[in-house]
Amino acid sequence: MIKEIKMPDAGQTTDEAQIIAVKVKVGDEVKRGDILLEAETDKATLPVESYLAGKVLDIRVSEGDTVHAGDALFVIGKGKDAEEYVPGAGNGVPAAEERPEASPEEGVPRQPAGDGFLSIDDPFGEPEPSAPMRPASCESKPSTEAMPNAKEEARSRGIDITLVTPSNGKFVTRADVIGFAAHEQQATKDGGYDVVPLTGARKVIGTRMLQSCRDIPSWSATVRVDMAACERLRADVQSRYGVKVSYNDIIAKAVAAVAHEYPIFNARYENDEIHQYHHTNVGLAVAVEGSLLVPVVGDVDSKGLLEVSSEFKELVGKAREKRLAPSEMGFGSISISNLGMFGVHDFTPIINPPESCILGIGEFVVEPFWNGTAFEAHKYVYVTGVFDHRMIDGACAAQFLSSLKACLENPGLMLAR
Amino acid sequence: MNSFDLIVVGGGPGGYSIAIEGAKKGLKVALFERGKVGGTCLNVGCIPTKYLVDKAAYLVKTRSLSKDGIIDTSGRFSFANIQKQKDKAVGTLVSGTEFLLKKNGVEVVSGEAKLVSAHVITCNGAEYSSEKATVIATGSVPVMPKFPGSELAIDSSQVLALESLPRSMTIIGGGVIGLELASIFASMGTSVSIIEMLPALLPNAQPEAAKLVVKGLADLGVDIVTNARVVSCERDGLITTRYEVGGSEKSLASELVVAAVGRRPNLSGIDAKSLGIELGPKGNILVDANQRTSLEGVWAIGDVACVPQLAHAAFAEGQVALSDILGSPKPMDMSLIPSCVFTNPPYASVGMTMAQAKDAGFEPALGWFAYGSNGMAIAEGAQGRAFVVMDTKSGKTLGMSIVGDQAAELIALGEVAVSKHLTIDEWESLTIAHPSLSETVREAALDAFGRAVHKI
Repeated sequence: MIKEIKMPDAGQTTDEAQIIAVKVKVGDEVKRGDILLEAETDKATLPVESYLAGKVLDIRVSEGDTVHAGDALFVIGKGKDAEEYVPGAGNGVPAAEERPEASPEEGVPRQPAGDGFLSIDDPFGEPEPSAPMRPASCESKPSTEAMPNAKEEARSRGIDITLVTPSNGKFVTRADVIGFAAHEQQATKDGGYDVVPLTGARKVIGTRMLQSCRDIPSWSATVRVDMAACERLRADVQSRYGVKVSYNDIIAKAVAAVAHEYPIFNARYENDEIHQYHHTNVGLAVAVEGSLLVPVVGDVDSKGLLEVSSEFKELVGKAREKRLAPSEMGFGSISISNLGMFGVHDFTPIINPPESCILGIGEFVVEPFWNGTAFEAHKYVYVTGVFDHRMIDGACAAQFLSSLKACLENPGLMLAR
Repeated sequence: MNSFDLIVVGGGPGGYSIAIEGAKKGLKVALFERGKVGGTCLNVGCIPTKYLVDKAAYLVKTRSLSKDGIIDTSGRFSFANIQKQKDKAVGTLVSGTEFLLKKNGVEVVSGEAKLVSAHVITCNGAEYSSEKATVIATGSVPVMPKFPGSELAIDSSQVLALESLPRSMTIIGGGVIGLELASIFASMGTSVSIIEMLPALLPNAQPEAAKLVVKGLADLGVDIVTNARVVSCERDGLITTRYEVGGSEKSLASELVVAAVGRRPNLSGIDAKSLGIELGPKGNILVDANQRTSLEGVWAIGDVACVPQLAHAAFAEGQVALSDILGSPKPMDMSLIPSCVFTNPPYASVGMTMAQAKDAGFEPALGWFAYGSNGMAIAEGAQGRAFVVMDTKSGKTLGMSIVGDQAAELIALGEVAVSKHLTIDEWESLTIAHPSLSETVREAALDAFGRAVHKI
C-alpha cells in the first residue's frame, strides 16, 4: 500500500503555508500521529501529522517551500509495494503543481508595452523594455571601459566596476574607483540599513491592517472607568476560588453582558453583509515574537468568569508557543487589546476585520474623585472603543461604552440580563 | 434557369464536403454560401480556437520550462501576432477549401440563398433548380441571452477577433465553447471567471473525467461558479455582472463579458413553416436516420439538424445524406461520434459512460490509468488520465474518456475499439509502441479487469 500525505486544509482564509521544518527523511519508519513537518501559516505554526504507518518513500517538499492545501507532501507506504516503489514513477497520482500566479489586480485596463509584447510570466505586470530597441541614453548602463589598474583596484576592493562613473566621461581610472569606494563607505556609515525580511505573518498583518484602514470607516470614543469594583471582584474570586482572573477576563464578560442589550456588537461585516451572531465571541490581542495573534473565546455570554479566564489562559499560552490552531482564531466580533502593562495611558487600536469593534485598554491611573466633601484617590482605566461605522452609529456606540463602564464599575449589573 | 443535380445551401464542413463528394460521384453541384466557405468551423470555430489553444499551451509549457530552470526566462509574447498568424492559418484552410471545390467542378455561388420550394432556390435575383436533391447545411449562430445589459456581452466570434489580450473576462456558460475560451485566455494571463447555470460542468461526461477538466481549469486560475443565473450587466469602467447563486446575489467585475450559452440552428432563408419542413423543439430541422427532412427531396445535415453541434458529425451526416440521395442508404449511428473539449488539458470521449452503460443493461467496469505512470507522459511533462468502460460479461469495450495531452488524437484508438467491440483479450494482445501516450489507453482497458501492468 502506498499513499500520499497531502497538506491539510488550515481552515479560514489561510490557503498558503511555508514549510519551516521537515522532521523525517526518506527511509524513516513512521507511525500514525508522528509529526512529519511543521508549516507556518499566516496565523500559526501547524504540525502535519502522519495518518498512516509505514516507511517514508518520497518527500515532495523542502524547507522554505510554499505549499497549498491539497498539495502532496510525502509518499508513505508499507509492505511489498513500498519496496518496489520508484520515486516519480509512482502511484498514479500526479505530483503537486505550483499554482499559477495570482490574477492581476482588477482595475482600469492597462495598455501593453509599446511594441505589443507581453511578459509570458506576468502579462499585466510592469512592461519590460525590449532589449534590442533600447535607445542609448544617459540612463543606459555606464561604460565598463576602464584602465587596467582601475580594474585591478576594483577587483581587490570587491567593487562592481560597471557601477563606477568615469570622471573623464570616457573610461574609469583608478582614482575613480578609490573615490567610489570612499563614497560607498560613507554611505554605508551614514545611511546603512539592513533589510528585514517580510515573513508570512508580517505580510498578513500588513495586508489586514491596511484593509482595515482602507475599508472600514472607523471612529473612536473613550470612557474613564473606575476600577475599584473590578479590583474587589478580582480579590474576592481569588480568595473564594484560588484563581487569579485578569482584568481582560472581566472586561470580556462585561462586553458579553452589554452585547445582550446591544446585539450588534456580536456582528461581523462579511461579504458585504452584516452577520449578527447569536453569541458573543471575544478576541484578545496577544503579542508574540515578531507577530501578533488574536485568539478568540467563543460564547462568552454563556460561560462563567472562571471558564472564560481559564480558556483565555490556555489560548494565550498556546499563542506564545505558536501552537494556536486556526479554529481558535478568526471568529470574534470584538477584540480586546490591553497595553496597560507598558504604561500606555490610552490608545486607538485598529479594528481586526471583519469585526465590529476593538477596545483599547490603558494602564491604571490614580486620579482625584470629588465625593461631595473631599477628594479621594481613585484608580481609573481609560477604555477606547473603535467602531465600524458601517454597522454601529455614534449614539449606539456611546451607549455601549456607557453600559460597559457601568458594568465594570458595578459588576453586579452583569446579572441583570 | 440554372439547373443542377444537387444544390447545397451553406458551405461549412457539412456543406462543402457533401458538395465535393457529390461532384466526385458525377453529380452537377451548386453550393450557396453567404460568407466564406468553411463555415463556423473554419472561420470562427474549431480552427481559430485550436490555433489559440495551441499557442496558449506553448505559453503554459514555456512557463513550466522556465520554472524548471531549463530556459532562463520565459520571454515575451504578442497577442496581436498570435491573432494575425491565426487569421493566416484560417485563410490557408479557406482558400484550400475553395480550391478543392473549384477543382471538383462545384459551382460556388456567393450570396444569401432562399429556398422557394423543395427544388427551387433564389439567390442574387437568379433562380436555381435541383433535379435530385436539395441539402440544407446552414449551420448555427450563437444564442445571445437576454437580461438587462446583455448587449454588453460579446459572442465567441467577437472574442476570437479581439486585438489585445483582456485583463479579465467573465464567461456566461460553461459548455464546450465557454470552457475552451476560459482555458485559452487563462493560459495567456487573463483572469477568467465562468458563470454556469447547471450544478456541474460537462454533465454528460464520465464524472471522474469531468472533475479533472475542472481541476485543470482551476489550476490555470479560472474561477468557476455553478448553479448561478446571470441577472444583469452594467458598465462602470469595467463591466459588473450580477448573478444569483444559492438565493443571494453576487457580482463580478471584468473588462469583457462573453456569452457562450450555446448556438441555435440558422434558418435564415428557409421559411420552414410555409415550406412544410418540420422543426424540433430547439428549432432544429427534424431528420430521419438518412438525414431526410419532412419535405420530399430535401435533406438537412450539420448544426441546423443535429444535436451534437460538431463538424465531424456534419461530415458524417453529409456522407449519410449523399448515400441516400444516390439510392444506397447507409443510416447514421450517432453513438460513435466522439466529442472533444480542447481545454488544457483537453478532454475527449467516445461511446458510453459508466452510467449510460448501466442504463443500457450492461454490467460495466471502469478501468483507468494515470499519465503519471506512463513513461512518455513523464518525459513530456504531460498530465492526465484515461478511462475505459468495459462490459464485464462479454469483455467488450463500451466507451472511453481521456483527459490529458493528445486526448483528441488518442480517442481515435477508442473509436476503433468501441466500434469494433474490442475485447479485453484483444486489448491484451495489442502491442503498442513504447514509449507513447497510447499505452495509457491499453492499460486503462486492462485495468477494468485488474490486468494493468504498471498499476498497483
